[in-house]
Amino acid sequence: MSPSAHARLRDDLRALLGARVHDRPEELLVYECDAMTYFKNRPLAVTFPESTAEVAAIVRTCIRHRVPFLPRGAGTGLSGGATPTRAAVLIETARMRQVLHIDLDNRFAVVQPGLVNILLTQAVAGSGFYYAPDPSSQMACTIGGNVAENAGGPHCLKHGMTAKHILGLTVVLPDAEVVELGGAMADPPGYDLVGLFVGSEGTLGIATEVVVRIEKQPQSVRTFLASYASMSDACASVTDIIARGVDPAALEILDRLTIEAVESSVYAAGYPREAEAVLLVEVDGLEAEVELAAREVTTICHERGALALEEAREEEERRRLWKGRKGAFGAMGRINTDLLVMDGVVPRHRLEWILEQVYRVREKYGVTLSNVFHAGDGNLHPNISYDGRDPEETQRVLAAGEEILRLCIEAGGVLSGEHGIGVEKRDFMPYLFDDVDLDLMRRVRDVWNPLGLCNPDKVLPTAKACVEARGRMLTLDSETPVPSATDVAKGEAQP
Amino acid sequence: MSVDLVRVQQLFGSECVTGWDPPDPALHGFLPAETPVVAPHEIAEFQEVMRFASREKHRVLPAGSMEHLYLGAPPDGVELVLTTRRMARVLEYEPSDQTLVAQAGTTLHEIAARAGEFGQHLAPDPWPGRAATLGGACAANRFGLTRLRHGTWRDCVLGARVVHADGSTTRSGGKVVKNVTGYDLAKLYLGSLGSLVFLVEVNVRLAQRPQEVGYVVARLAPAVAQQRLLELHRGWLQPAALLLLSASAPEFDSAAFAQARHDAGELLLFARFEGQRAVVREQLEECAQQLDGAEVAPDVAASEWERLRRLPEPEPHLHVLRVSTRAVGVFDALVAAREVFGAQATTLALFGVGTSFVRLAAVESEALAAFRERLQRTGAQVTLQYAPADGARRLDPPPAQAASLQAAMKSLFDPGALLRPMPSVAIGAGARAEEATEERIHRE
Ligand SMILES: Cc1cc2nc3c(=O)[nH]c(=O)nc-3n(C[C@H](O)[C@H](O)[C@H](O)COP(=O)(O)OP(=O)(O)OC[C@H]3O[C@@H](n4cnc5c(N)ncnc54)[C@H](O)[C@@H]3O)c2cc1C
Repeated sequence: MSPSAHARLRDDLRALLGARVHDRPEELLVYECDAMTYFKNRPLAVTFPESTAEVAAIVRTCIRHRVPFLPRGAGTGLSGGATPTRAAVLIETARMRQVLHIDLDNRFAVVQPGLVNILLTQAVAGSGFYYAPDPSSQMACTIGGNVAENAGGPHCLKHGMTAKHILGLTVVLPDAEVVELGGAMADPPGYDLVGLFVGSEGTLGIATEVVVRIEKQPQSVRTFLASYASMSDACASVTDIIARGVDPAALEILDRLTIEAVESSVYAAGYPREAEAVLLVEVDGLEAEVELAAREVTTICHERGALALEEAREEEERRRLWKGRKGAFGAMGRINTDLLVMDGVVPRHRLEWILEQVYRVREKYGVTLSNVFHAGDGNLHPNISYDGRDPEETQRVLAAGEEILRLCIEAGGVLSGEHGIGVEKRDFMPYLFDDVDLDLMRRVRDVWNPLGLCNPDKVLPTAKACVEARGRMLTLDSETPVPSATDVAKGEAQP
Repeated sequence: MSVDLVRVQQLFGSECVTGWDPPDPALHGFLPAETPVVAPHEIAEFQEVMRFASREKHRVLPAGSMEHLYLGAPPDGVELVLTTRRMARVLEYEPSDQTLVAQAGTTLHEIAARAGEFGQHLAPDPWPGRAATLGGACAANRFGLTRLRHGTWRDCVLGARVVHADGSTTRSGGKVVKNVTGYDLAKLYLGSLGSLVFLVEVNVRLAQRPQEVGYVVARLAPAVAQQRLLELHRGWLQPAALLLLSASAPEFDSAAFAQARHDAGELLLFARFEGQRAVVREQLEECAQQLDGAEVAPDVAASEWERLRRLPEPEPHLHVLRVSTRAVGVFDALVAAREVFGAQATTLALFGVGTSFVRLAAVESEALAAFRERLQRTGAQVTLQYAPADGARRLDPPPAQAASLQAAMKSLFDPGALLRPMPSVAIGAGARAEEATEERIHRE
């Protein structure tokens, strides 16, 4: 973008938002990537709207200047979703963080998208309610970001992913039109556009209000930590727990390297360092049912040869046990300058197989890889710590990551369970979907986002891109020209 | 005008093609008897039929077992029916993962039988009818009376394979229980009533079948019913269903009901609890106590529950209305139905869900308008789910939210308008005239 065009854009944005436009290089530094640090690109400007109307006005301005734009919540995304791929304007929701309405009897709340996940639960906790999806990043990530990624979390095993908890949305569409989708009324007529929007990674528009489902806090919660001499015993316990009809709220496994990293960090939770794996089990519900489930879990863990089984006696202890799990990425991040967090999923019965493969890949590529995962739903998080300044090591890390994802697909699984595709896995999409499948998704996107200005280059490989394009995509020049609306309309350019 | 039956038989084999002869007599007049009904065995055949239809621009009615074709917009101008009835195999079932992949024509009965062997079931649990299919239940987004606890298809469909209007086929989603890989297009297809695609394979997550089920049945005076229900709802109990029945209906004259038979205006509450034995018993007792004097009625279970499940289903001479409110707003529907339709209406309300079904033997247009008018004030939506051919009433469709986006999705998937029209068949509060399409509910 030429300096004069940039200046005109800035002036127009300033006219809308005054000082709530940042574009000095030092201000932009923190916005050059999300929590996937591998791919970096500085935006043209960051805007801080406070209302739906302001978001729509920013979008209109961007369209007028033919500049791409993209929403950003807290930037904790792990697939580069909030990182601009071109010279673009970020629409940061940090100043849209109010709880607008709470209706306990009808079990919903209306919130702004920049509200931090944990603050939603805190807003209703006093009345005995909570918001169920609990990504490990919940102290920082936003409801808007959760909607965009269809975020999960340890307790989504029982309580469901974000999609299950979103009833309605106000969306600023990529052409600046404001629409309401769904809402607190049962079964809105027409197609389930809310269901489509959730998980669309900011490519179909910007959510500016969210109607979320809230739930009663469980009457009783019990939390266990079992440690094992082998990963396969831990996995077998998971299989047994499900097979015997226990409906656990969470089933999380951490491997030895993760345990070591956690125990050497500020997230130390007292996990036994000598164990090859620990299994964190939580059961919740009515007291009587939790009692039965707890008994079953205890029996199974012992049968499967647990070295030790610890139960949290009080809330303080429960928090401690969870601290290690929720801090696992952070702890791994301290091992080296960069961390690649992967997110493949396999059918649960293939867990042991895939873990063997993951460890084999670790040896093959000589990378520092640890595993912490949502065992109950087969969602792996192999974490690879590396030094991003070392190109050779970086290449090995990427190759290892790609091989693991291919193995997940070979096992009948998918590329991502909760972190989304973003730019990170975009060019792996053809491993799972054929051209016709991807072309349909592209056409659906283009109906919503006809100019292609809203968070371009995410989720779907460009029509011609094939898997080999990966290297190129990641070094995309931030000056890559964006086709004009008329070019697209004339069919002369691909959005 | 339908396509020539003989020609279609020649093209696709007479073994696959019959005339219009649906199992439900109420649907006989739905289409002319010479309308070809094609029932392919495989996806490739399915695609072939759709390529033919799209080449020759024939309007096609997607169907499963044809038990719920009355849902959605009327099949105006249908020239060909294409059914998944013969594509009825369970392709994969992994009990330890609680996941199942089945062809769309697989009946709900078949899935229940297969999953039942491992103590599992399909949580949405709609009335399985004689041979309702998985694909049809998903396309119509039909749900069961335990939606309060088990949700709908939205919560358990993991992925789908579909055939498009142009005969191409695509997949979305996957077979695993957690997945954010690409757009979740299956969400669009659920409830789309054959207006976007043909579902040909559906991947679902199954749930553990409860060890025990129990009921509390109570009579509630209208004046206290709402408060009582709210108290239950706010307490610690976790019912799988809280059903309110305003039955003055003669069909509910069985022994169990007769015992709890209520005076005009009284409501009958069915609270259902599921889970492990001890947990269910504890809740039954507590619930009965809270409703002082209510009956814990184990034997109501089998017989009456099945009758209740059938209430939203069509019957030859009945109108079935569906009212959508907020979760605990069902009293609006109950009260409006009683005041407007009087004793001839039977209303079944799913408290905590926000859905109510009103059954009527006969209905005048003015009464319908008055009903809508009443509910309009609360923002509720009214849909006519089923109307007998002879008692047809014209009703405006609802205001579609984001109408242009909805229409754009429709024309993306079905640019030649070969499939059914958009499923906007509700009579809605606050309908904006300019948004109302030409679709009409009545059956001609
Ligand atoms: C330590 C750590 C632990 C994590 N644990 C989990 C976990 O357990 N489960 C899980 O699912 N994820 C987890 N994540 C990933 C991340 O936190 C989630 O993806 C989260 O939903 C992102 O929210 P955010 O506000 O940071 O969004 P951002 O990173 O800012 O944005 C993410 C995407 O959302 C889009 N977006 C943001 N706001 C909007 C909006 N209002 N409308 C439309 N699109 C929008 C952006 O364009 C982008 O594509 C973790 C991340 C970290 C760093």
